[in-house]
Order: sequence, then structure tokens, then C-alpha cells
Amino acid sequence: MESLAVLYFLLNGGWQLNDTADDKQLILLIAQKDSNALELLYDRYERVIYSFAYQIVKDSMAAEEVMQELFLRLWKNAGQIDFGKGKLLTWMFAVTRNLAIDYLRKRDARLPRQSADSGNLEQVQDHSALTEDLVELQMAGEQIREALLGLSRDQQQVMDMIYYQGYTQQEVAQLAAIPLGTVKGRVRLAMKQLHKSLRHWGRRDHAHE
Amino acid sequence: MSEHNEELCELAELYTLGALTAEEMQQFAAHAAECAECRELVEEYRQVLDHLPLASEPVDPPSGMKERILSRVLESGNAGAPAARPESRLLNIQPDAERAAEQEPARTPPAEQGLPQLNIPEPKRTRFWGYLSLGLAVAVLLLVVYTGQLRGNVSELKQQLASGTGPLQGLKVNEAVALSPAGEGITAKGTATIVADPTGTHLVLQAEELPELTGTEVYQVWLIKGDKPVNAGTFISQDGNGALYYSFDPKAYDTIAVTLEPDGAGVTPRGKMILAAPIKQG
Repeated sequence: MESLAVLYFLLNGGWQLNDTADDKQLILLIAQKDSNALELLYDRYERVIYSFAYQIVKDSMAAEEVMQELFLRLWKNAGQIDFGKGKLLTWMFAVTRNLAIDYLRKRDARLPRQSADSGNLEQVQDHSALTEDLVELQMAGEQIREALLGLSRDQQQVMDMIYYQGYTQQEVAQLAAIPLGTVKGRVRLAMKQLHKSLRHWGRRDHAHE
Repeated sequence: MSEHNEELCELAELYTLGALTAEEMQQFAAHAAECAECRELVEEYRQVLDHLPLASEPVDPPSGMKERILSRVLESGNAGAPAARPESRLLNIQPDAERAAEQEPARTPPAEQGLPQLNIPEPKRTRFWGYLSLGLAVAVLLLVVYTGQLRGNVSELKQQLASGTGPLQGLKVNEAVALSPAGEGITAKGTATIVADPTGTHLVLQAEELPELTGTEVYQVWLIKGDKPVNAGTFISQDGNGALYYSFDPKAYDTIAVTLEPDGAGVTPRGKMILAAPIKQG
């Protein structure tokens, strides 16, 4: 009976997807417009991505719109690229940051500057490999929060303006009324320190040398 | 350009963060193409940046966000047109971003990427065809590889599908009812099947000859006990056909109904009832 076949198919769709499906499997299914897979992926990353978007825009409605735009792009473009292990989340974070910063720029009527839009799927970095293990992600998050808090206030300020608000070093110098060289120096120290304290989280594969 | 240029080497951090002017970004990229040290630094800093989003203070998403987002995303796909974005009150970023992407396929490295290869100086005219054919050869090669991968994926999926049919043996059809039109002038029809297995009770609904949806409209399924409707999910029809699968706790419902809703966000029926049938599931 035809309807029975449909029924089996639908039930299969419901069961075969579970929490053990990895990102790559989900993306393959999403590329085929499988809404169950989309939902599963959404559930998996809703909180980390929303928290990140909120951290930047500091407004729940705007953060939701960033999320919506991100998932629209994912739904439209999932078929275009092979997301290797751990790359999907990196891509989602990058797009989230760009959308959120674009929102800030629009809201504050800031200089358009180069649009930091890297929503281009082809440009996912080769090297990036965030873990897909949610518990590990959480642990990494705590580690990084700690590392950020370990920076001096001055360093935190420039990192916040550059990373979370998307200002250039020139803009930071102007807005915070500090010399350009000082901005540069603080950023360098901050990045070096973060790198040092996170060394064991970055899975280093030196693709280039 | 010299291999080691103190002044430029000092920009590695800001470059990775995308915090330089477009001109400086280009200068650094050109420099990094020849400076292994800088390339390595950029690589290391990227690892840091990749992880930085995780440092965000955890925030609870607003209630109902999941339903709103998923229904808008799914209906965007259904409308065919690339993402007609219904209610963007604050963010008008899509058009800009897309325009930029279309107009300038290969431009200054945006903040998040921009390894040197993006900034290879423009090839001289005479070399143009050489580069082009090289590019094409690479493209063909990539396509071949990609096709191979897709094949692998297909067989993987087939396997999954095959293995997925195993546990279905305990399936028991509890009830199947024909859904009838719920009003004058409606020709739609459908079937609702309620099945049980060790994992729970599931509703499978199929409908055909449904009126066409416009805009953000969706069909919504309700399980009703007395006058209390419980949302059993929404679906979107295609060529008048639609289907829905829903798992629920076994409870006595007396009616199943399908309504046409203005959008997928409703928690109680607002639209017109299209199909309905009595059930005795218990």
C-alpha cells in the first residue's frame, strides 16, 4: 500500500536522526531540504550561537534576527559545500559575527568600511576544527572566558571594540582617545596571551609549513 | 618586498582580527605571501578567534524563537524565491551582503579570511588564458573529486535507510481515519493514521487537493479533546499535497483537525478549518 510506504519513510526520517548524527550528516540531509535535520542542528547550536549574537548586539530581537538570517543562509546553501569535521560551527560563528557587526554598524550609522561578510560558503577555512562534542565545547568556553578575564582592563577594552564591535584600530584609537601605537601594542599582547592560554584547545595542524 | 619586515610583521594580530583598513589588509596579505613566520602567526591567531565565540556569557533564547525561526526558514524555501524575508524590522543586511557578494566575487579579504592566496597580484593580460585554463583544469579535477564524494554519500545514506527499517517491525496501526472537508467549497481530503511502537505513539497525516498557500501561510494540525486543541505541528503543501508526522503522549483525543493559518507561530487555531475527523484514540 502506497500510504504505508510513505508512513515508513516518514517514520524512518524521524528515527534515523538522533543526537549521534554528526554535523556533516545533518548538512547532507539539510541540503536535501530535510527539515528534521535542520531542527536537530538548530537544537544543537541554538544556545551557543544565540549567546554569541547577543554578546555582540546586546538586544534579544536583533540577536534573533541574526539567528534567523544565519539559518536562512544555511538552509539555502547547505548543498554548496562539503563541511568537514568541526567546520560547520566555525562557519556559523563567522557568519553570526559578521551579521551582528553589520547590524551594529547600521544601527549606529557607522562607516560602511569593508563589509566583513564572510558568509561565502566556499571560504570556510581548511584548518578550523572546533569540536562537535557539546560538553567539550562548553569546557572550551569556560577556558576562554577565563583567559579573556585574565587580560588587563585596557586589553579587554581594545579586544571588545575590535572583536565584538568590529572597529578598526584607527577607529579604536579615535574613540578611546589613545595613540594608534598603543592600540596596536595592546591588541598584540592580548592576542599573544590568549593564544598562550588556549594552546591546547587549538588543534594545530600547520597546513602551510 | 623583503622577507622580514618588522613593521608589517607587527600587523599579524590586527590583520587576523580584520581591524586594519582595506589598504593595510592588502599590504599585509602581500607581505605574508612571502613571510612564513607571519603566515604561521596568522594561522595560530585564527585558532584563537575560532574559539572566541565560545567565551560568550550563556544567555537563554527568547521563548518561541525556535518556532519562529524554523517556520520562516522553511517557508522561505517553499516560496521558491531566494529567501523572501518577511519581517525584517531591524536587520536589512541581506540585500547589501548579497549584492556585495555578487558584484565582487573575489575582493579584499574580509575580516574572517584572507590568507595570502586571495591577494595574488592581478595576472598580466598575456598570462590570462594560461591562468584561465589552469583554473578550469583545477575546477574539473575538483568536480571529479566532489562527484566521487557525493557517490559515497549516497551509498552511505542508502545504508542508513536500510538499517533504519529494522526496528520498525513492532509497528502497530491503532487507527486510520479519513479526513473530510470541514466546510463548503473545500475539496481537500486526507488520511490520519495513528501508530504505536515501543518508542511512543505517532500520528501520520497526509492530505491532498489542499488550497494553495500564499505568503507566510501554513497548514496546522490540531489534536482536540473537548474544546481544547493541542498543536500537533505545521506543514506546507506542495502542489496541493502535504504530510505531517508527530509523536505524542498517548492521551484520549476526540478530533483531529487541519486549519489554514496566517503563519506558523500560532498556539491556538486562528484560521479556517480545512479538514477534520473524529478519532477514538486512547
